[in-house]
Amino acid sequence: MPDVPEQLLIQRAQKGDQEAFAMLVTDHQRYVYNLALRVLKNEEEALDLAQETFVRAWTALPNFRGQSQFRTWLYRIATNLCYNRLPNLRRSLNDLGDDVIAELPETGPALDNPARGFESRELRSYLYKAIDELDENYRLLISLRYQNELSYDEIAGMLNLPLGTVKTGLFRAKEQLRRALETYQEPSWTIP
Amino acid sequence: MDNPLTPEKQNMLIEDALYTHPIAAMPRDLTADVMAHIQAVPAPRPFRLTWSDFALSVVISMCIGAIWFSLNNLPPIVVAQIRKESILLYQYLLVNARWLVPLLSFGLAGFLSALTIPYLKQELTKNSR
Repeated sequence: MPDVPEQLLIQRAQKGDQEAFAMLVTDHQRYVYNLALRVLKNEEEALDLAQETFVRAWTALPNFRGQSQFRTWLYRIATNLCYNRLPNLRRSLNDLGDDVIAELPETGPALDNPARGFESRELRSYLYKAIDELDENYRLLISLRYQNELSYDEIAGMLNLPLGTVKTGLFRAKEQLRRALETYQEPSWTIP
Repeated sequence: MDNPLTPEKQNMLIEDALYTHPIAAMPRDLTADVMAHIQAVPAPRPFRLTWSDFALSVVISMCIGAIWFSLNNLPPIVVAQIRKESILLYQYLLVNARWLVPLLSFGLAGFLSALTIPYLKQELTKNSR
């Protein structure tokens, strides 16, 4: 089928058109799966959760009023399912507080040269590993912010958290990565 | 060995890593699995107020309105008469049919509980599938 606008697919799916919904699943499954994978860190569980997300989305589709993007709405369902599987996730997000007063800039991806600034492939892999080893609440926030490029407001609205809590969570996640980076030793670095 | 990364460079490296952290490929296409599940789920029905819902709500609200209107417009002597009769009836029941009041109370509770049985049966069937 040629490219059909997403809005039209949603409207058709809301009227019970399964073919339209199948196209929506095809379009969005990778992002939902990746969100689940980042949080759950288990391929099979992530697949299972992504599948459940779409089944729930189908039954809840008549309630989707287009106030948020369809993708964001799917993430909200996926996140609620993550809460069911990781009972501590919701509490750990609420416990973040909002003590970071400093304004975090709404930075965009610095992808004019993605490799810019990386000393070596090892350093890049080291940071990726450090990201994977963050706590589940930080992984969720980071995935929404950087992988899915949602704004702080969108994340706060989606997770039903105060804006300050979202910023605090992201700030602390970066602090953990900074600490990890401080302990990193590149073999090629020499004593000054 | 010394770590030569300045705070600015650390920030830049972290931001870059966060944005370039690779997205995993799908191990398998979920579309067929999802659609197979959906076949079993009835098609979503948009919320719609039917004519029978409308008629029922009109009747109920008119009844409530009529009761309210009557109570507010009856002469005080009639209200007092109704109150007296109802007290007398209650006392008569207490004396001559003591079993009737608890029976009615428990009967109502039982009836309300019985209303949940079809739903519970449906849930049990769904879970055992």
